[in-house]
Amino acid sequence: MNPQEKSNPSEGFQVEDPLAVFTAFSQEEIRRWRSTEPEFDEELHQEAVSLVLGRLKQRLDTAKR
Amino acid sequence: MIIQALQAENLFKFKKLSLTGLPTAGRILLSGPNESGKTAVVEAICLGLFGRTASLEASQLAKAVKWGEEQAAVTVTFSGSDDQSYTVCRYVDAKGHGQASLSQTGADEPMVKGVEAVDQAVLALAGFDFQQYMETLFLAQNPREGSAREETIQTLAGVADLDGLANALTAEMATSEAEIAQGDAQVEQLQAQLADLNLQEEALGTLERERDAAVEQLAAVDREIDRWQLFAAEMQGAADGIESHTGRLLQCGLESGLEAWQSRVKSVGQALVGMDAVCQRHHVEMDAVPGAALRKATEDLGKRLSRATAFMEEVASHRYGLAVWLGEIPSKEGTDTLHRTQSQRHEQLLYCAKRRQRTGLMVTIALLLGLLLGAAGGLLQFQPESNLASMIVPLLKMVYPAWDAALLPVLFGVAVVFLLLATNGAGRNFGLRKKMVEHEQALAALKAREAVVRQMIQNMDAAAKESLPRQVEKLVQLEEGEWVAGLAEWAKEEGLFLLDAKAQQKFMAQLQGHLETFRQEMAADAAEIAAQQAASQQARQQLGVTIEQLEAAIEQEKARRAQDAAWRAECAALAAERLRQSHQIAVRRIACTLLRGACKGLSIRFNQELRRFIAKAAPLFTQGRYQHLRIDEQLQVAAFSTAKNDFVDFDEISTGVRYQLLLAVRMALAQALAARVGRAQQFIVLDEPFVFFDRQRIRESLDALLRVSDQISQVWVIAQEYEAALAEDLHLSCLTEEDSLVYQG
Repeated sequence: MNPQEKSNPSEGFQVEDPLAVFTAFSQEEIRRWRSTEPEFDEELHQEAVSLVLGRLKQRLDTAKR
Repeated sequence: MIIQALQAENLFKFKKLSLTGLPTAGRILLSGPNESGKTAVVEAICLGLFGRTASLEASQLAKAVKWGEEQAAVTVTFSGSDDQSYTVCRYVDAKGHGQASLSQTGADEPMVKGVEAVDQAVLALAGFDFQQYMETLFLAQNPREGSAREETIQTLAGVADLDGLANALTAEMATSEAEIAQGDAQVEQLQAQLADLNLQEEALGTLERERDAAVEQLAAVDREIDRWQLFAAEMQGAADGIESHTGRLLQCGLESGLEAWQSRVKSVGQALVGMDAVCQRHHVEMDAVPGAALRKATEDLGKRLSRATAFMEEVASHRYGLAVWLGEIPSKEGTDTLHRTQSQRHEQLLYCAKRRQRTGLMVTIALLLGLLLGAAGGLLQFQPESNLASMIVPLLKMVYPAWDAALLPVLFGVAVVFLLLATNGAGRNFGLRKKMVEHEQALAALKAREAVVRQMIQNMDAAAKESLPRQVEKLVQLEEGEWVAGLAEWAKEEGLFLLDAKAQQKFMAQLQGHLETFRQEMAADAAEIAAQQAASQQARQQLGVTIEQLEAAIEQEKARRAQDAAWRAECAALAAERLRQSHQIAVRRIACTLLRGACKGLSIRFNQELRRFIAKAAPLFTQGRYQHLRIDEQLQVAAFSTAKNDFVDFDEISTGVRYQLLLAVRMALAQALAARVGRAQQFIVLDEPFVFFDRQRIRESLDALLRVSDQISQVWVIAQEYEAALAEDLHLSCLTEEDSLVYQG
């Protein structure tokens, strides 16, 4: 295969937003725990998610400044 | 970030370095022999951007100044991640002191001044720091496999923020757990202190009740003391009165009048009554009231004086009656007085005289008529014919026309009646005469009585002006009065002390003895009162001490309660804090679990993406010989050898191929960094990457450099020489003997 004929390897290089990744992951985890854990404390978990999102946003804002 | 211009003075080997109008895309080839300054150019870029170089830390920048010069300067113009153009200027003197400024290109005033501020601003504009630059965008001459630290990989993967936050939360959990342990220890200590304090719920109430009872007792004792003081004062006042009045009584003598005796006795009596009242007010038994003997003597004296007074009143009443009888004092109608008695007697005497005169006349007339009628009857009886008789008959017929001789007995009867009347009248006249004598005698007696009464009054008045003994002596000599005998008897017995000096001296001695007895009783009572006061004062003092002790105990108990409440509040606060910390730990534990999970997923996908990129870039640098690569999470590369029909380790690959693969890895990392920073174009520096490449590989690798990534558009490549340089490349040749490099595009 001629390398020059290859498509640009940078196409589709996925750089994920950590905030979005965490949000999606945490919601999926909570959904799973909610459906499997008999004594699941959703309020506690949502508080943890809010804490992380708040602190992450703060860290990212600080890094941008 | 794209390098638009690079200018320097007295930096490294260059007296002057000026590269302006640099192409924003394409290859910038730096060639030249050793020591010609190729690496110094890219070091100048690094120094301008980050304030240090790969070989010189910030503290070693004095070495960057050209030998023999005082100061070096470097200016880098670049486009940031926001596509704006910025110029960073740095100055370094021979002592290593640095200065820096950052401004938007073309602006007169810098937007940031100072080394640290400029470092931070460049970091924000570039999106990466020195280490990340060195591990992704700068390929050194002797790269190691992977060559990127875990921190850099995490940053590129986007895990750094999540992992950093997870680490921070883990640290916070550790802090919270330490604080919980510390709080538990404090609670345990407080519980021990509370146990030692051993607060009793009823203790304060009991102490306060005891204190209140003691205060009430104190008030009662105070009232008792006041009562004793008042009692003592009143007793003393009454005693002084008794002393004073008894003293005045003792001053009485034979010359003292009855009124003086009575007045002083009365005063003593009143003083004693006052003493009785004082004792009664203070609930003293009457038997215990001092002055009993004095009181008895005074009462006896009072009775004696009362008898004397009664006698004197009788005397006065007697005198009054005599005066009234004499008419010296007006009296009521009907009262028997001398004048009225005399008047009555005189009237009765006059009446008797008048009646006696009238009765005498009537007796005379009756006697004459009886005698005439008897003579006429006798004449008519015995000498009816006589002239005188004939003269009498007509008279009788004149008086009684029906006169007849047969009525002669009647005539005699009438004559007898007249004679009887005359006799009766004579008798009455005699009776009147007798009454008249009686009246005359009574008048004479009244006169005599008047003289006697006047003498008595005179004697009484004279006696009243005398001293009591003389007065009594004179009064008992009076002949008239029912009281005289009684007074005489009183004067011999009860009243003797008033009249007789010896008897009076004896009586006074007795009275003085009673007074002395009273003084002794008062002294005893005063001593008893003083003892009671002393006892009350002692009780008061003891109660005061007791109250002070109770107050102190109450304050101490209150302090203990306050301490107890404070410690319990502290325990409650610590419990609440423990609850809060536990909650924080629970929240953070969940957060960490979620963060670690997200990091793991993020890392996995980043590595997959990186491996995918490397797998696609590697054939470009190996002319398609190594299309299949296996790259683990530590970026360890294993290549599939078609010759061996298996994956071979990195060490088994030829050096040239290994450097080709490392170039692919580095380009992948650079792309990852560029993608993480943003969509802006990015430069990369490759310091002699083709040392082990043959000309064919160099040509193909140079060709591949611009095809690997759309974002990595400006590629700085250092090499000894470029035979394969293309016309579109910017080729800067460095010469060993030249200390300047100038390019203006």
